[in-house]
Amino acid sequence: MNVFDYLMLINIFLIWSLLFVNIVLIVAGYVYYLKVEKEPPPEIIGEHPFVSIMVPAHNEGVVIVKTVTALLAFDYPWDRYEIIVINDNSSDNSAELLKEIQDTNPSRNLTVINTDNITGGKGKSNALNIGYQQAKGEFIAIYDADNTPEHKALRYLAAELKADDSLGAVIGKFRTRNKEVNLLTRFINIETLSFQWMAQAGRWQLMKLCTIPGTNFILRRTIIEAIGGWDEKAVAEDTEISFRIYLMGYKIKFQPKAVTWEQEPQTLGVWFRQRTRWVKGNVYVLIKNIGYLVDKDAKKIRFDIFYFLSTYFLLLTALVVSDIIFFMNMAGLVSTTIQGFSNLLWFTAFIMFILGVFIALTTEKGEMTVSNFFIIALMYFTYCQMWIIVTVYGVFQYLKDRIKKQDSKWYKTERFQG
Amino acid sequence: MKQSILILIVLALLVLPMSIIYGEDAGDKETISTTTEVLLIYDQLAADTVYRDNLNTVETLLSALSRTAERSSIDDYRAGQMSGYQKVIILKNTENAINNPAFIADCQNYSGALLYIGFVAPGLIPSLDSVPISRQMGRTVSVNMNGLAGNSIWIDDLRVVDERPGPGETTIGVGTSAYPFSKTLDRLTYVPTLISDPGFALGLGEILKDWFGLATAAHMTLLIPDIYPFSDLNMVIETSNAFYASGIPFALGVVPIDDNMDFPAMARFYQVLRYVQSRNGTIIVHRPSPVTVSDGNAVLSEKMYAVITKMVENGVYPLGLATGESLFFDKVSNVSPLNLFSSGVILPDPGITEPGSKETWALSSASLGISLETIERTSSQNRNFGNYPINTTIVMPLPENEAALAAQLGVINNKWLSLTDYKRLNNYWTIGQNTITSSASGIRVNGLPVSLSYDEEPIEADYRYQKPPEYSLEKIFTAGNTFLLTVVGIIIVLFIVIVVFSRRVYLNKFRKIAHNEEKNEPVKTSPEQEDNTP
Repeated sequence: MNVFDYLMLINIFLIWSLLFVNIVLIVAGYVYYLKVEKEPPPEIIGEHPFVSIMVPAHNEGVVIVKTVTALLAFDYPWDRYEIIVINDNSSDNSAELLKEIQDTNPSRNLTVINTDNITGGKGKSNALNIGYQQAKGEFIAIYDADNTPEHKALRYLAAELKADDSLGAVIGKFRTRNKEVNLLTRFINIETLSFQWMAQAGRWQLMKLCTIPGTNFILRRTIIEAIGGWDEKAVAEDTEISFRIYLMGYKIKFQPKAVTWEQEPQTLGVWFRQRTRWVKGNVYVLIKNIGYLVDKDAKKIRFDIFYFLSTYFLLLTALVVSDIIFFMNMAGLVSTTIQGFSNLLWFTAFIMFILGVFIALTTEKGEMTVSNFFIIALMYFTYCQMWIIVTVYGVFQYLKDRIKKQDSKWYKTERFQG
Repeated sequence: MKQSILILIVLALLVLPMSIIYGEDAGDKETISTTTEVLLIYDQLAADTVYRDNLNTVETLLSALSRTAERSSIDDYRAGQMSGYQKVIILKNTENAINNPAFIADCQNYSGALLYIGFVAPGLIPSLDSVPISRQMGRTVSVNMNGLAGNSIWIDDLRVVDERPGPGETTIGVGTSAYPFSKTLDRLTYVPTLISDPGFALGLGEILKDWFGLATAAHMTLLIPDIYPFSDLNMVIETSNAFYASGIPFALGVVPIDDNMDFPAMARFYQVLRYVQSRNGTIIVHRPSPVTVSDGNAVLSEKMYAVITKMVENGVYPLGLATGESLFFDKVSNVSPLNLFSSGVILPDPGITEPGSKETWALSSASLGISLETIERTSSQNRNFGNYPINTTIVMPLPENEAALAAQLGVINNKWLSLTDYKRLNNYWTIGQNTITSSASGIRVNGLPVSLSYDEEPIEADYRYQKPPEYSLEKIFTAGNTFLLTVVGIIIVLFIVIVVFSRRVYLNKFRKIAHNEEKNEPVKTSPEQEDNTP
């Protein structure tokens, strides 16, 4: 056996190990789904907690009206929540549009904070910190500017958080509003569903862990106060704050009945830039918290750190290295002698992948279709491979920024009409 | 001026011989005949009778005599069709009445050479009606020609010309009587009986040869067909040695294999073929029956080019073609490059000829394939076997063992056969970059003589089979593979169960909504249900 054999051996071990971890998560996620289906929706007992909803918005004129209108329509006492839109250094007509909404809803707790390039324009974390300064709620809810939450979403989130003091935050479910637009949005729709029902629901069921998704979540004001606001260097502020909540000993719960619909990238370019930001942000958070992997007091977040580490480094490295060795082997540049597994096994693993993802789709109305089954098969060869490229690129960009000692730039996802 | 005239004369002297040479060359290389010479009309295939192979026999003989023909059934015959041909063959396999008036009328007015085989239709050819026919039921007969008496066979229904045969004429022997095989009346030649039998086929061959006016002497060659790389190559070598020792020239019909041409087995195969050539053996390409080949003609042609080129690269020089007669009913473009061979052995194709009208092409020279058994059962008046009236090739399968080889060799030696060396005949072809000719002076490749002497060459190391790679951790991976397959299989089953179960959950969950939608009632979102609409 040579060095390439050992590398391949490690890769095979990693790939299959992580595959089985995800299988366990799929099953656990499904068990949680059945549990949630049986339970009645959470109800607020006693007085409704006052909630500050913060919406960071940078040049969101295309979608902001719809979002704020949906927020105003929440099934929640009007006097028990406020909406704070941080119109962050926008150069479009967002300010005018927001003003119009304010004017037509004078009786509502709707605050618009317009920042300029001195006070704002430094990314989502900065915008949230600005909004937080004016927030009065004991609970803070965050929605992205492209979201259309369902009427009861806030009620369910607040009820869960109020009912259990051990919860630091509650996250809802997000769905793809524009899934019918093209194949890419269909891919994203399947991806988001499977991620939530596998990674979020599965981890909650097994370890009472979730990762805040950046929108449609609620958390305690005391937590923000304790951690001193959002980390402005973090471009994946959601992951970052999740880690901080774990470290404080709180749980983060997934409540799938609290649904919001969001607009996903419709073009490859937008998708690539958005996902690159996610990768860079998650790598930042991972490196920032990697020490906790060996910290005996941080037992709770060890799995999450391992999960991120395995996804962004171990699995990625295994896939890339095994692909490189495979192609070098084909070109006759290296030779490996380990036997490897049969094609039948790889094929069955592919079928397992399709079924695993499909299980997540069976939970949602109108998703359990034959076409989606084939789209999943197609995803394996296209979308999943694109993710490898994005991850490699994101990690490379992150390392480049670190070497050049640059702060990561916030890439604002472009919105589409409709 | 004088100088320029001189130059012209010199040029003319230079160019003239070259043009003659070129002319000869071009004439030689006209490998196929495409001008249709004969119209072959048949009434029926007579599939369930002893006449079922007759059409096939006539076609095979025409190809073996290098004649081209257009075939048509009487039903498909078009008025005036005969008038386009100098020669017409009518094959009447049944006694059924003819229902094509145009055909009847044309037969009566036809002025070219007519060969009529089989049952007479009264009134169709007026002169035929006057031929005295003896119809004999249940007879043992043999066809005799050139001092050769064919095998005796049983015929239920024999029709012969009730006359005494002329001297040297091909006859049908019935007991002690002999009848002429055919009767010629001016432009008409009549063959009353033709059945599936080599003697009858050869008898008809002689009639056809005379009918076409072919005066060339016939030759006999020997072919061992169906030789593949995976044939018993040791037996091929042994047979070659035995024939060489007995001074028997022979040809090896090599079936072209287009797969794995660089593999050691193929290298060794070429080595054996080179050895065969050195033992006075000739290589010819044995085109497999299309029935057994799944490739279309275009693919087959492409493969043939590659195979023949590879053979020449490896010092193996195929000089002709062994093929079934059906190949000649295909378009010339479809059978390229096989049509580029000048010579070949025509083998009767198994099965009944496909009905319908078709035209044929032909090789420049050909011979009729006959089995060694036919030779064995044929007795000769002379010590030397002599020759059949037409070119023949004895088709002898590769002996299965030494005993079979000895037996086959014994037949050939005992018969005192006069076998012709195939490569000493005039053969030529140009395929791709190679032009190969052969004659009494030997084989030439692109004009240069080639030696057929055999020098043992070790198979190059590159050609050696590579040992299967040895894998590390083979046992662990094999066990792991089985284990993972089991686990993944279980997971797949579990997932399928979940999906099926999910469908029930799903239907229960959304049944109420669907019910309301059917009734066109607005959906009331109960606390238990998600809105799930954007």
